[in-house]
Amino acid sequence: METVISLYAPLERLDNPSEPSLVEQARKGSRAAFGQLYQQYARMVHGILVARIPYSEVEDLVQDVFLLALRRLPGLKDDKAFPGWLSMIARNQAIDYLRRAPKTAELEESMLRQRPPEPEALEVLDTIRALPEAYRETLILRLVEGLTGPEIAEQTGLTPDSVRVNLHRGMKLLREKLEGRSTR
Amino acid sequence: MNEDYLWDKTGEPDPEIQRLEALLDPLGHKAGALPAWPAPRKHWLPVTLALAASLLIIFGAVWMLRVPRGPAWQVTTVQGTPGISRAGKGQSFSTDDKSRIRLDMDDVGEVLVEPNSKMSVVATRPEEQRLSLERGKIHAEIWAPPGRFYVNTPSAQTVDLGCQYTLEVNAKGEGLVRVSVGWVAFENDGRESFIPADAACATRPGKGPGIPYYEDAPQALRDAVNRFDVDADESAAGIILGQARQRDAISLWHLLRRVPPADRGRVYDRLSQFIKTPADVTRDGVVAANPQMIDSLWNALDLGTTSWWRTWKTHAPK
Repeated sequence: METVISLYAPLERLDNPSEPSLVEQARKGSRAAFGQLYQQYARMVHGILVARIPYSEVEDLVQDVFLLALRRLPGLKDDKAFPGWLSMIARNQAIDYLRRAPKTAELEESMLRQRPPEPEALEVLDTIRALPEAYRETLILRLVEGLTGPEIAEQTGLTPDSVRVNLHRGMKLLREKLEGRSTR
Repeated sequence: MNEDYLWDKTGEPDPEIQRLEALLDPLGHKAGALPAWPAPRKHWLPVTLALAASLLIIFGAVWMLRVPRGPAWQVTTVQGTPGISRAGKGQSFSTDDKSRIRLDMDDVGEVLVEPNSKMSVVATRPEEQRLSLERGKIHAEIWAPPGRFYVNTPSAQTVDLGCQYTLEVNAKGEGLVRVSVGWVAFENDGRESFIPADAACATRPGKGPGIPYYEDAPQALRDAVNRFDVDADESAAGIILGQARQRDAISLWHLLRRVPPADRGRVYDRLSQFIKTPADVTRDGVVAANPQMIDSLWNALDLGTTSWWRTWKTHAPK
């Protein structure tokens, strides 16, 4: 019998009864449920933003994404769609940020308090961010946020097949770019 | 590359991937404080509440009388002069050369409508959200389950399979879809094209969906796809075969379903150079357009199985 695989398969999460419950509880005002959703999806949101906006702005925008999601939650009628819905809010917030952001970033107090990232890490991050969109988000979720392929599929709504292809092709491209950089 | 380790961190660790993980880990999300919970409003006086409730009832009654009932897209003006605030079933609207609007529906997604576009809302049922784009350009970001969001164009309908894409229709009714995330299907009278991220596909009145191609494909291949779609030009098919890269196997698979029987063999031969031909597929069977074998070839493209498409069709609204 042929296995049915959907490219985007949010309905598969029907098997997990706890998730609709968390969304429902958060909708009704449960801070604990909202906190659990935050813990569960913060890395995914963080990764989506890291793929698109200046690294120094990401933490603040993660908070904005969850607050916006909380405000809009009453309008979400299909709890199973929560992960895909949340990831789209994150992508839209990144787009809005880029529309309104000044072209030159200033050093902010929060940046000065943070331990600066390794220069090589930022260089590799820039290399990933220059990859085609389909690959960069998946690779960042895997290499920066530490999610596994199955976790990426579950949280973004992509099917495992799509994530596997994106990881494989993205990693191959990244290796080529990094090798090209080191031989220059 | 250790595929298992890249996929789920099992198997023998790949040293290069481990090095990148260690290097990039400090950039990842670190558990911190939850976002501040919105503060409750404590200073509302009963009189204020009563006044607000009265106003709400009055405005609600007026609103119910003037606005069509049922689910609707919320409309936000991004640029230009606001025209409408919501768009329900049967409503048509357009943007002028200075206007852009955003359609939003929480369970479905967002659609940015560019200037000089003309659209209408065809259906707003939970299982079928359908817009029509007569001309112009839209950007769709959809989070509804696959197969619930459709856009009609003069020559084909797009079926969202969970994705972000741009769709434009020119004055001749010719359409072009460009996918940035996920998949889109183009369909018209049984003619189908499946378009993945980073790919594009044209559709033309009287001909329907063309052959999808990756946007980084050689220009000669893209030109040949255009010629083949318009004229079914046999020499164009030859150029597509000659210019195709490994990644363009998806274009060859679609070409296989478009060429006359006499040409199927050579398309199959070229496609077989890029994929591991499944054991249940024979050249003669493909030339005879055996549907199971065509499906098996798709599955060998490593882009997911054909069954997702059938799954969508099973549940699709008629």
